[in-house]
Amino acid sequence: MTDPFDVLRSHVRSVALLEHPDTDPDDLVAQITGVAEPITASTRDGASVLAFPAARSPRSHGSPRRRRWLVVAGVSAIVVVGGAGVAAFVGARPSTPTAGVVCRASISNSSAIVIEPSADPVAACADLWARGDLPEIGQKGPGEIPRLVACVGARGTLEVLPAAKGQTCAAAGMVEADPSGSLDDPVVALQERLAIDINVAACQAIEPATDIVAAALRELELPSWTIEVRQPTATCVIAVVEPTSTRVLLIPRSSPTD
Amino acid sequence: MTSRRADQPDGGAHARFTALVREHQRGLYAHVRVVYPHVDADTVVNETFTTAWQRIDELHFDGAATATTWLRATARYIVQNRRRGERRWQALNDKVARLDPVAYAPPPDHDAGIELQMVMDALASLSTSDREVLLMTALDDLSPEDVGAILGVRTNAAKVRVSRARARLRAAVAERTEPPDQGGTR
Repeated sequence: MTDPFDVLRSHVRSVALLEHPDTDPDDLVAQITGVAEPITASTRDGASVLAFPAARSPRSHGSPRRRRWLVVAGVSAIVVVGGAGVAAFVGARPSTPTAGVVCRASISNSSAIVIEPSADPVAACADLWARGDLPEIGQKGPGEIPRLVACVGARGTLEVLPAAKGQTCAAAGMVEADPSGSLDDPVVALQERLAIDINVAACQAIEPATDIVAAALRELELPSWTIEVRQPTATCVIAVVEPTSTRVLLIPRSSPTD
Repeated sequence: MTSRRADQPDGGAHARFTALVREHQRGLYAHVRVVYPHVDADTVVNETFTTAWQRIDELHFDGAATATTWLRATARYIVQNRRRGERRWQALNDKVARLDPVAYAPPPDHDAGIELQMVMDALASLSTSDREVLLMTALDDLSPEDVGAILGVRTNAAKVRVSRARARLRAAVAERTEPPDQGGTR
């Protein structure tokens, strides 16, 4: 089958060709300049003139984070992207988060909210606490932000927990999140991608696996990385990422018929 | 610094704004229409250019790419502002339904139609943020820097988001193409 993204690209470009704005550009100019005024130095210093905080810095995070709310009450709330394969092949970076981000209501195995990965998961969880969505999921809490620590769970989730002073991730049976690691780290994305595209398959042959790794390295702009096939006669392989030697190893695994 | 009265925009500003609208209106409209199909694209484009006009003194683009990303980032901000008042997941399916293949560009043959429908179904099953990056990069050849500027994230983060979204799309399509599990054995 064609790459789904190519199918999507072709389709949306066809859609775009058929779509036209209702207003002619010159009419739009006349319409806007006829009613709105440019903000000048003299007006900017006055009252609230700005309709929008436009010209946001590309690096700013002024807009509210959009979260995917998966509220899981009472039980462990772990979302593993792509199945167990993710956790199985991240041994090279044990304290680096590889799956989702979870804001926990307490250090014990309690209610939690899963949020979308963001550049600053602790801040994202603190935001939930401030809004009173934690620790009482579904009912507003006091809106106080406790001391929060970021830990990596056994299955690769980054878990942000409330912790008393001196309390560490070890109290919850986890390890501290590697501050140098990030969900936005291309190596983490590579691990996740290969786990999903190769390792969860019952049997991935060498040739397509090599193509998948090559495409991932290209997409994530990791040109110095190499692919090493351990046993060229293997029927099925899994991918193991080795950040220290910047290699992806394709190692044999037993096929479903063995 | 030169000054002018707010109600008397100088000719240069007007000319720059006119050029900006003429060059980017169509592309911005297509972007909003495709990436945020649940909003009224004309309204968002109008508000985006209104913002540009209000800030015309400060907007000095070095090249088309900068103007392109600034306009898309501003449009995104406007869409998000509008979304705040809506129910969180309202009309999610409608977003994709409005890109209905049949209504726009019928595929060349039956198989291609089935494939496209499968991709659109898979797209509908993804998160809003995955859909956003997939649709914007499918429509325009945006660099990771451009995507980062539009989303307000670092280039590395943008690169990873695009890669993850594509992987999730592939996985969602694969789920739909795999034969159903016949037995109950594990």
